[in-house]
Amino acid sequence: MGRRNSTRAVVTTLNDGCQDDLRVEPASTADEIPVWLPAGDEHVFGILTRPTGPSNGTAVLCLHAGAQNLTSHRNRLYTRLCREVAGAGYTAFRMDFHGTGDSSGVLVDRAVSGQTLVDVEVAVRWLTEQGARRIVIVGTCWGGLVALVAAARQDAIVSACLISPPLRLVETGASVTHRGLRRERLGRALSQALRPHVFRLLLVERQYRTWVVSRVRLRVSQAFAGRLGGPHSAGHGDDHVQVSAQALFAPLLRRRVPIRVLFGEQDQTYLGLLKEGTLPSLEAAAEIIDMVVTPITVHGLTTVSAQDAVLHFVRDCLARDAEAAAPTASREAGAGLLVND
Amino acid sequence: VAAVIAGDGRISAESSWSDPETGSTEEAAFVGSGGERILAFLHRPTSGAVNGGVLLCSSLYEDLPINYRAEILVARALARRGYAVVRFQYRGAGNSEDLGGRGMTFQTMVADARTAASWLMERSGGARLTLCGSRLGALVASELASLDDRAPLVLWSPIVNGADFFRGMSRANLLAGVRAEARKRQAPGDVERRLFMEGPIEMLGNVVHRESYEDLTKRRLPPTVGPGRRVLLVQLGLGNVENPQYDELVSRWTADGSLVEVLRVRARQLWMVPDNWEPEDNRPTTQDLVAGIAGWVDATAREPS
Repeated sequence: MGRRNSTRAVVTTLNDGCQDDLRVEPASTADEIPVWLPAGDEHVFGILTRPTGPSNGTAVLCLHAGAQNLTSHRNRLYTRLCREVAGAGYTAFRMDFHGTGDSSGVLVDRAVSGQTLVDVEVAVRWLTEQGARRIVIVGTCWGGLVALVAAARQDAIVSACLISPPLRLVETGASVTHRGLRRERLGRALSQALRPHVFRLLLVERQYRTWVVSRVRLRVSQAFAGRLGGPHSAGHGDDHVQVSAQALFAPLLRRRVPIRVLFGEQDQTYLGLLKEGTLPSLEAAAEIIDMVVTPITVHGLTTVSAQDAVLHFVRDCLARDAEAAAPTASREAGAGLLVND
Repeated sequence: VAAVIAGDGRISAESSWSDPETGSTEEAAFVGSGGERILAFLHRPTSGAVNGGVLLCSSLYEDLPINYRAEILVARALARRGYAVVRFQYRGAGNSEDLGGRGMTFQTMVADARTAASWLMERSGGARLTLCGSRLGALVASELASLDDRAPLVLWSPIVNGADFFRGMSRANLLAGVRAEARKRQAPGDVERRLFMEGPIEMLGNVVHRESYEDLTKRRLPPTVGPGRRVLLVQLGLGNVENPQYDELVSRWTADGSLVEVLRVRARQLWMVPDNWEPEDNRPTTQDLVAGIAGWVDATAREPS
């Protein structure tokens, strides 16, 4: 594992061979309780995993990436993570945003504001009411952005593990759709389509052909809508952060909340960040931001190696967080977690 | 803000919640015994008798997140119409119990479905059962139907042959590799060879165990579902493209005396989901699917048995 500096934040390159599993007996369904939490007009669903032994007073709150996701996340990543850390004394809670998984409502847009923040704030407050004195928040992709904003607003959140978040949006507050890169994307798409094996797949694979045609249709319709001032041009429904970068990072800096970020080298979120070059808000917060860059693609968790990298990364974050918190930790804190089920 | 704060000012977490607008209640529980517990959800009318029970058997791997919300919407629509509906997650999938490093097999899936069906019967007072299976779950639902010749059967974009499911997922996995240009490409080779040489393999980020592959590839929808049984076959697709496998099934089952209807929904069932985002709840195709299935179940259950 090596470290280098990029945009003044510490960048760690994660190599193979990091095997520091929390060698403990993981929790099982016997240690878990499914609950709905009333959050404004919605009911957000989540699963609480109780520590299998004495509680260490810290809760791990897991946020997924929003659409087409559920509490367990891809290939049970969050199920495995929560059960594993519960074996090491953590309380864990994996939850659905409103309108996703088993929660009520409709996730109308992915602004990091409004009901979405209420969802997380209720979960944080509930975990503290259950006895958690410190909360480590974990979020993937869009959920990472939500985690970052929640960490700035909630004092109980003492550290954040962000998996491939679109961090450049923090700077611009803009839409996640890369409209500025349209010409470049077209060029890339054409060069991909002209490669022999892609060309061959286009000819022989009906599903791939269908998918490509649907993408082309979508792009064309978006382009027309954009030119005609249609709904797509307004960016409705896209991810965007409605908070200034300064307001976001000021409380995090004041409270010295470590923000640990995992990117894959090929993640669009990471490449987008690199394209932006120097980001003043991230530079200003460099002392609390620790970026880890791994050679595999992490975004979307579309491979088992990406999921393993996330597990390793979160373990590492928790270990470092535990070291930092050691003088104040109490073995008794939060031991009596109760849910009125 | 409704019911956010309990009497002592604390947040009240519950294992169920009721929606006054729709008059329905949802409940979650781990059901089953010992190390075989599954996470199950019951959707039911908040008050009054239920018109019937519906067991919804979901699919596996990448199908699980893709169809998850639509399955919830079907369950909610049925609860609004007065039905008790149970959804569940198989052991080894979602939030249910682990299988100790082993993969799920058809046997474990059917056992989990029976556990869920028992819970449904217990909570709905033994109401008349409708079985619904989506994709690979259609194999499970039709297996349970073989034990109840009265139960109407909804086959939601069913996998006719387990081997087709893995073949499709393997191809999608290959195509996903093409999409991610710089991503490390998996070693080429057919699925079976890789399974025998490497043990569990991954497809679209999901671990597929050898026993799962070997067992599920052999499973097919049955040649008959019994004379007089009502069946709804939900066919997803764009345009009027015929599905020869479904056509053959419908012909065979109809000839056998089953009462088969086909619901065509203009939607795609793809593992490569376009990266534009739209809430599942608001998609017209999902709404058509939900209304079609809920309407059919309701109409069928009201017929004299």
